[in-house]
Amino acid sequence: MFELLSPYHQFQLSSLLITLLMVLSVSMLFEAGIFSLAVGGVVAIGGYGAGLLSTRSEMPLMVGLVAPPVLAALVSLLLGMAILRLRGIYLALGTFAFAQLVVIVIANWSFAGAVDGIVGIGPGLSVWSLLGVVVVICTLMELVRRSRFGRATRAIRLDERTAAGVGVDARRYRLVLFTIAGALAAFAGACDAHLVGVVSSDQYGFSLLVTVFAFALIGGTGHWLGPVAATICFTLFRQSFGYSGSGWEQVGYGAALVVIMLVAPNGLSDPSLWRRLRSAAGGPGRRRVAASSVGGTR
Amino acid sequence: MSDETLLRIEDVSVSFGGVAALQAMNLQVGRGEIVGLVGPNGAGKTTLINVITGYYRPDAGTVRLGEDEIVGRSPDELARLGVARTFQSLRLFEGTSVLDNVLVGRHTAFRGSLLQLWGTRRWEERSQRAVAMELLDLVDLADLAGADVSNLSYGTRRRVELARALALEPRLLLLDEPTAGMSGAESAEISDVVTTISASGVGVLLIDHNLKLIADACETTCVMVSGQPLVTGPTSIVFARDDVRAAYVGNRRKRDSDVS
Repeated sequence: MFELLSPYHQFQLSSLLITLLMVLSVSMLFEAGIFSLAVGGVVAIGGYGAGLLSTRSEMPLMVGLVAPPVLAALVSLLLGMAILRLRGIYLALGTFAFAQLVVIVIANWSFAGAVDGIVGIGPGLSVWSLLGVVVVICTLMELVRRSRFGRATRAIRLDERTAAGVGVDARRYRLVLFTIAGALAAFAGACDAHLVGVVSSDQYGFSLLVTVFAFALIGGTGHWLGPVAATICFTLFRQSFGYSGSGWEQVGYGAALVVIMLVAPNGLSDPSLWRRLRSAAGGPGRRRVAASSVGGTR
Repeated sequence: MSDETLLRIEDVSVSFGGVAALQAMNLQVGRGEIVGLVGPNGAGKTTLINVITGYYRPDAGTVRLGEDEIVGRSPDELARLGVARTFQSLRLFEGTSVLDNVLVGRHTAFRGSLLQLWGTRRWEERSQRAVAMELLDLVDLADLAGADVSNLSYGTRRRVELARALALEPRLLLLDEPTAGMSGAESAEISDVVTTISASGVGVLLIDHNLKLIADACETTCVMVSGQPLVTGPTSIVFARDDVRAAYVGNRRKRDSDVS
């Protein structure tokens, strides 16, 4: 591959794409109304899986990138069967307990380096392959969004009981999505381990959750473009101003979340937000809304 | 009763805590039959629909759909077996279009998987949209297909919900106060739609407080009081009974005679 980007920019772009994969894994669960904090745990499974396979075995890179997501999918499936009967804040707490459990286990596992973690993990996918993966994932999400599966997922988020009443197997949908999201997050974790070269248990704590959830919440439900745009904007911002990792970064996310919750509680990709903006601009959207309300009074 | 029984409810009892919502309830609906279900508030009409659609599990009794025992099946399973309903509290998928609401109802009619060819998928999506548009035409909403359901009037929203239930191509249709909040003309239109649907062989259980609608649409009517059937029979005979009038509108005649 010709050198389009300097190594520094390649690293920054790879880091952005990996964050994007984590955010997409969270927002695909949001689409079905599932608020799960398990992402911290499955990213750790991916990172440690890739780290162990790369430093403690002679397996090729591909195995290190594929095996952890498969394991994470299995773990997510079992966890989902046990925990997806919970809803709302109870589900968030249950999945958070899982994420913390994974972190505590790896921090005390001497084979995986305990608190020192694993160092010397070789390089992984090139930035262009990562970009390819992100494009494929977004394409798949768009295909699902336009299909009956996307419609059923939205219906589950809006009103699960009613969705069941018209034949949507909500339990199965939630479980399948939970499993896929787990695999995707673990893949992101594996890529991250290869990119940074180091994994340690403190990397998968609360600040990872805050970052990923801030992007996913600001992006909102309804379209994958929202979370993608939010992630790109915030990452570019923090990379160019050098706030990354400082206390100010978390303060910034908090402030952005407050503003979004006030202006658009369903995030940037909420269709009703765009309808409102269009009608405020006096565009064709306004006339269409007026016409439909006249029709509605017949 | 028609010769072919579609729904057979026998000795069904449900209680919440210590409150008996249904006690030894019996009811049958045949193919192509419209059965009216009336009774004062709290008589257990909606509870009965929730039992038939799998939202509540009865403590005792059997519910049969055709030959199948359906107690213990989940709501989505029953929807796939051809049981469709509307909700008394009117539940639409807010913030989405009229057409999308009906298309969720077509969910079970889609055949293909995500992996099917792009062309086939587009073709299937288009044909399901066509079916949904026909249903919207039936309830006279075709020109509002793209409108957000959250912006529509109450009666219009009721018609969207009816179209969504019909989208399942049900064998059995359970309507929980479909004309509540509607004008007389709108109610008559709903009555026409329900009659058309049942003529194609669908069994309909119709709950409504509009007794004129029940009298016009239903050959058979069941009056429920306190979770039990008070009387079931031909509508004109049922409505003429004194005990039915007493249960439904209060014991007015008796009070009148007390005064005089």
